[in-house]
Amino acid sequence: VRAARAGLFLLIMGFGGVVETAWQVREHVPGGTRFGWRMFRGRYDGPSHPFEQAPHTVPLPAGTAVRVENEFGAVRVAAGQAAEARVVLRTVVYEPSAEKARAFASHVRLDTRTENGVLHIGTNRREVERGDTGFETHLEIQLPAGTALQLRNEHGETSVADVGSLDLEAGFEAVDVQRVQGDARLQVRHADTSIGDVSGALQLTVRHGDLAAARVKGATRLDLEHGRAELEDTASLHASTRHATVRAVRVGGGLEVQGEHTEVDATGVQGPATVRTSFQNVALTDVTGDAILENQNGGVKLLRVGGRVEATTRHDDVELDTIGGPVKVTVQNGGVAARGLAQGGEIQASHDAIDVDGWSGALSVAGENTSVHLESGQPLSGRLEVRTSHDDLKLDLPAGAPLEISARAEHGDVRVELPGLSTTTSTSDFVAGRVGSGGPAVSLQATNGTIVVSTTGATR
Amino acid sequence: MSATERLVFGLFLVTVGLVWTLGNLGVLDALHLLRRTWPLFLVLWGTLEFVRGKRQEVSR
Repeated sequence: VRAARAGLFLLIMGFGGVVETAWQVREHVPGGTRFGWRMFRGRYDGPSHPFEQAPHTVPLPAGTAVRVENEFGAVRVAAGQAAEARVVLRTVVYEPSAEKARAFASHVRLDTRTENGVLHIGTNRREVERGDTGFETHLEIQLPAGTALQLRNEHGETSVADVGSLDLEAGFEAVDVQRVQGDARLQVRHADTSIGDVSGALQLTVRHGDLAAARVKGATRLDLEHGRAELEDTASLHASTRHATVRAVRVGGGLEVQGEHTEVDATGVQGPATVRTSFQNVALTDVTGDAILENQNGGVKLLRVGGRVEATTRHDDVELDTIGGPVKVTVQNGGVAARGLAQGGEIQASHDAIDVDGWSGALSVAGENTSVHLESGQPLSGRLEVRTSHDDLKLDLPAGAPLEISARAEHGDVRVELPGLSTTTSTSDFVAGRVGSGGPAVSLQATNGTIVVSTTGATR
Repeated sequence: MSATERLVFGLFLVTVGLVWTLGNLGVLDALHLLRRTWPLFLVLWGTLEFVRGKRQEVSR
């Protein structure tokens, strides 16, 4: 009986809680629905009536900057005639009654004034706005091509084309910017952004939105949170990111990404690339300079890097292919797969496999609880030093390649099956000798594992 | 479940169902009405419990 009583009490109270919450949302969230409209995701929603005013033209002497401010409604800026600014205001009133909407719209007007050499364009929203009527002011603006523009728009689509320089802050609706002759600074929240053809530097701050930028001739600085950036044909790119994805194609200068929880995929970097991130993968392809990567809990993939490579990660793998400079790779709890290392380097990994196929120069490999397999189709051109533990070490070299070898296994066996090998010492766990008249030193050491050295292709 | 709880539970379901249906039919603003009247279920329940307690005292 007590349980039934408690259950019924909770049912009634829970029902009351749901009803109260629904009431609060309906009545007190801005707009609600009690006036026939509501605010949903930063924009008005409900029955509405548009009213367009006649075009308003303002003289605009050469060199005059323009500042546009709007709160609700789209702003479109395009190139127009020289020496004048042409503005069309379209007011959309959210009100079920057409008569009431018309009466309200008659009070909304354009506000233009010139102060300190800057033409200000806005509306008298602050004077006429009231709680029971929602309204948007859409601005269609034509300016002389090359005008310096400052634009602030809070809740509405924003598009800008053919301006001299741009300082833009916007939110909640899409932003499109095309053909900026100078520098551009954009700060966008809760909206997607697309940018094309910026002749100067580009500075972007984007929160909770995706970004597409193409053809930026100046340096690009990106500050991105909770979004995805697609960049093409930029000059140097510096990105500071959190919980983001950065994809860049054809970066004309250096690439630098300081990221948290950021996936990075860049192709065609003319210069060095430095990436620091975590919990996501990094892939760099066709980098002409050095590649420095620090990742935490994410994979690293490098393909065709002209300079040196420094790569660090943990709990994931590193993959290298066709690296022009020396490599230094450190992986904790992950493996390394490398091929085509033109200048050798140092590789460390643990608890997974190290697999190197083709290298030149000196190479040092250290594994811990790691199987190591090295294969070279060419005679060694530098010292080779390999250590591992708790797994096997396998080395495949071309037949007859001159070398001096020392292979020691603690708690394991050593088998060196190279034609022409003359040994100075040969036991089950230690082999020392040379092929031909001697060559680069090969030092192999395995603890609790077997060492096998054989001719390339012999074991396939 | 005692007879009192069954009565309150039944009235609760019938009332909410009726108001909701009328609201969907556009006859009344269901949320407005339910928001104003839902605590009456507690009042009804408490009153019935009170009456039942008094009756038990008299019958002893």
